[in-house]
Amino acid sequence: MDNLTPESILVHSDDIVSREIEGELIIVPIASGIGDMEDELYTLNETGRSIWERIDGKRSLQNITGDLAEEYSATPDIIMKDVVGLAEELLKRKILVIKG
Amino acid sequence: MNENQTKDQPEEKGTSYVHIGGPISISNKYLIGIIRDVMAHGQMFRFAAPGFSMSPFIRDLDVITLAPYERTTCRIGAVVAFVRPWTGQLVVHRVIAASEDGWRIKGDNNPEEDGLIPHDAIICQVIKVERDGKNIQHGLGPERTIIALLSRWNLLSYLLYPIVKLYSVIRRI
Repeated sequence: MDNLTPESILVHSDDIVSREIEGELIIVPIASGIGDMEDELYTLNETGRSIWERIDGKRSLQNITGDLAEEYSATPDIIMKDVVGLAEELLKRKILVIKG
Repeated sequence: MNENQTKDQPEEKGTSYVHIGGPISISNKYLIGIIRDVMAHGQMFRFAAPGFSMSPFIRDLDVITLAPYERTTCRIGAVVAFVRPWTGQLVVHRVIAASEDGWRIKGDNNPEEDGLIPHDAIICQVIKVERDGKNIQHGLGPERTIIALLSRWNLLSYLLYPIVKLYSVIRRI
């Protein structure tokens, strides 16, 4: 996996479909051209969702951290840990890709 | 093939950020949304379809694979997924006749037609059926046209059920 830095900019993969269903964000990966409801699906918890919504291919992880720290009045160090944790997890599963 | 998904929630796994699950309970409305999204990507979609209206060719919870609908390549006998205009439900049934404004569609196991379904209500086409992990060949091959015509003339059940019954007796023996 590529190394993440605070300056990394991530984008949602083209090989997923995400949709909010009854308050939950569900991610359906498209593997080999098939979106498979019988295979693994992903849902994000509230923290994950807040981060996911800010991952737009423009903002760096640092920008996203700053944004969230301001919104939740939390320490950036703690928020960065969450942002990087989620990013690593989703990169590993090819749900996010590093831009550029 | 028009009831809501009613499968059990799988055991959850994943991390503190991401939950990973298998098939989930999802209402018809949201399933339509996901299928539309996947089709908009030009991709296929696979899910267990509940219902008995396409039996015996597609049985309850057979896993079907859907591909984007193309009006020009769709033919009589094709099995399509559409949104029933007056209820908003997702239905998977067979095209039995063509019309300028759409297709006449009917479930193989239904006595009544769904009526004329406009082209824009059709989302996608069934290209594969799996049962117990095996591909089911019957119903989507060249025989689909004959099935559609028999269904249109309401002869399918008269002809099919004796054969299905005979087949099950032979298998038992």
